Amino acid sequence: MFSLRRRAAAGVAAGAPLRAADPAVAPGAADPAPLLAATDLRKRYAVRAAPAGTFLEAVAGVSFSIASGRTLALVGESGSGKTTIGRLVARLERPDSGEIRFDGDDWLALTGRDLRVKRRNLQIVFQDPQTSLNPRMRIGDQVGEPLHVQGLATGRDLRERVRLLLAEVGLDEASASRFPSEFSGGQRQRIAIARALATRPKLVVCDEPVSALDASIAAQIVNLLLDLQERLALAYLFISHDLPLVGRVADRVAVVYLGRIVEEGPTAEVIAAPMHPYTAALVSSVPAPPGAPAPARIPIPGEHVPAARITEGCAFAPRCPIARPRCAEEAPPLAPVGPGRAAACFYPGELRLPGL
Amino acid sequence: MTLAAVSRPAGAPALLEVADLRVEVPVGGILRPAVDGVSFTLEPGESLAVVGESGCGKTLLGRSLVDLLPEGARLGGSIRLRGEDLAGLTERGWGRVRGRQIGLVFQEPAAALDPVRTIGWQIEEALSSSGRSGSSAVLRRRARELLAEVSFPDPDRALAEYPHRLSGGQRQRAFLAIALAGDPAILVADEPTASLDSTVAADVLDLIDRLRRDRGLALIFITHDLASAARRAGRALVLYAGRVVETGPAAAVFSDPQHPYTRALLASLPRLSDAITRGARLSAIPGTVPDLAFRPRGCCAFAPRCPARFEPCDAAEPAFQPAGGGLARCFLFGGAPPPVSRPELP
Repeated sequence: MFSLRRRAAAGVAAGAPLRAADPAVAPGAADPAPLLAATDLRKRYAVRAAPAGTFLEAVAGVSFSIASGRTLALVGESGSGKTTIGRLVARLERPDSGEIRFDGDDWLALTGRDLRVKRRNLQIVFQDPQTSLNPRMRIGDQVGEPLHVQGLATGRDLRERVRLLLAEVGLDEASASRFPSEFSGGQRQRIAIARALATRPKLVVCDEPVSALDASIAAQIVNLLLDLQERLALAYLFISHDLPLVGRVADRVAVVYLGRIVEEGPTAEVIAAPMHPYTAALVSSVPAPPGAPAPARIPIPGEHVPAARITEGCAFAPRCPIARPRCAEEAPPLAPVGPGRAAACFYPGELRLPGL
Repeated sequence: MTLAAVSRPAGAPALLEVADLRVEVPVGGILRPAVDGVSFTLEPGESLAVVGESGCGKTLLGRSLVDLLPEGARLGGSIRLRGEDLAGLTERGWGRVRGRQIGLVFQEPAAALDPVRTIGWQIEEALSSSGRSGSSAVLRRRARELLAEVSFPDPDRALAEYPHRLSGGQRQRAFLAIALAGDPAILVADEPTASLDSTVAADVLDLIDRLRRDRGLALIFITHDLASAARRAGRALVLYAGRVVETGPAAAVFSDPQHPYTRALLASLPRLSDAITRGARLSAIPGTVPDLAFRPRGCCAFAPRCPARFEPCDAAEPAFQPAGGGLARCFLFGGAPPPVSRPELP
């Protein structure tokens, strides 16, 4: 643990100088004191079975902020780095460089008791409750574990708190004495949410919380997350590949492509009028609801392949329908493209959604 | 009521005729019907979407058509391929059907491909095991043609590639090439795009649709993605707890659903156009698909979750009734048993 910290600290010192609150890189910074502000996060992994020194840039300079009680969605395809960003925020992994301010603290610098106490305020819900719950531990013990570990409740008080938490997510008291295998996928996700809420966090990182569920059950869980947000003034970092769902839950959306945010802004505006060509292609690939006219799809050749990373120019250029020579030579910065909106494209808004 | 009349000589058997199909799987030592009384026909070039929540029997239905059922499962009813009943086939007989008559692709191509063999080797293997003879040069040429047919950007290079070197979409294309090696008349595609990103999934679905048209493939498209099914299928079969609850032309079933289950499934899908309604609740279906061991009998299985439930639903199991452009198994469309007469109080 100690050596890990030291290495990470060295990484920060060796990394590029951090850009402070530059509105171009942190468009959410309009809020005077966001609950969470991440600045220029970077994380790369050594690629095995490749020449030494080959790195995969999972997160390549990402900045964003989340206001109290609000939801920021990170959308992108698998391999875009959105899950890694969530893990960096939850401190399950250390970034190579960058800064995270959370709830008034230098989040990455916290250690020991300070970290343990502050961790109460930031929890995570994973995609697959099958693997995030302990199969051999009773539900009541798992939901109460964070309270027990944090020394927040014991004995009868703990049992009562667990009962209330289970009720909060729509599960009855009898669930406490049962095991995860006795529950359906949707119920298991309710249990994972109850566990995350035990310490009354201010921010919950939700990493694809419903993508393992049927739409009919996913809707139950999404409604629960919305209810809880209203009741408890929770902020969410909502990681998802499902754009229509994000439209329902997120105030703001950041579109992630190969480890970079390529577009950021209020969800409804970004979906209605994307400024980045990748966002436009993503929106156009969502199947239209039955009965509605099918809009034309913007085809983008090839695939989002994390290994095939380019060093110069725009990461999306090889697939971009409107790429020009400049795009292959120079990487466009994430720059303001209207009130509260930003896009990393030299030709923002040029590729319009068909039919708009 | 015929739902799709495809021209075929009078008296000639359908390409595929499934009648009263029943798949029972062992649960705690007792056989329980996971697919229960499913019937449909399929003709060349037709596509049938099979939709429903997880646990409704979609995958078992698809696998029963290629005899890939789990250990201890029992098949009932009949599966007729051009008039021949497959239910009584030996393993050797199935070998002539599987791949050569009925091909299968499923969700996770990584699990279907051999990690230590090249894509070319695996397609050639599929070609020879489906009875294609020829020199290795002939097989290689055919494998290359198949990769081109599934729109591999560089078929020559792909022949020499290993699965782990391909992207998810390319792996699914390779899986399709292998499934097509035996030149099947029917393709069962079980959630073929569930593990793919949306931009890539749309390409793969377009490809499958093109293969259907170009080859006259009959397609059984098993999916929980109703929006994609609605766009691409000719007919739809909505399964709930192992039984068909609604069937008809896909356009009618998905744009004007009749059965409360189909309606609820469609209503639960978030839509892009809803983005302006941030915070608005989604329309969920309460509860879950009943566990195999606790399926209600002698009543409508969906009744406990149904917003339109009324007395007959608990008294008897509904039969198909004409509804919208198809059929729905629901008392809302008639067939309700007469109300039980209450004895007069003295």
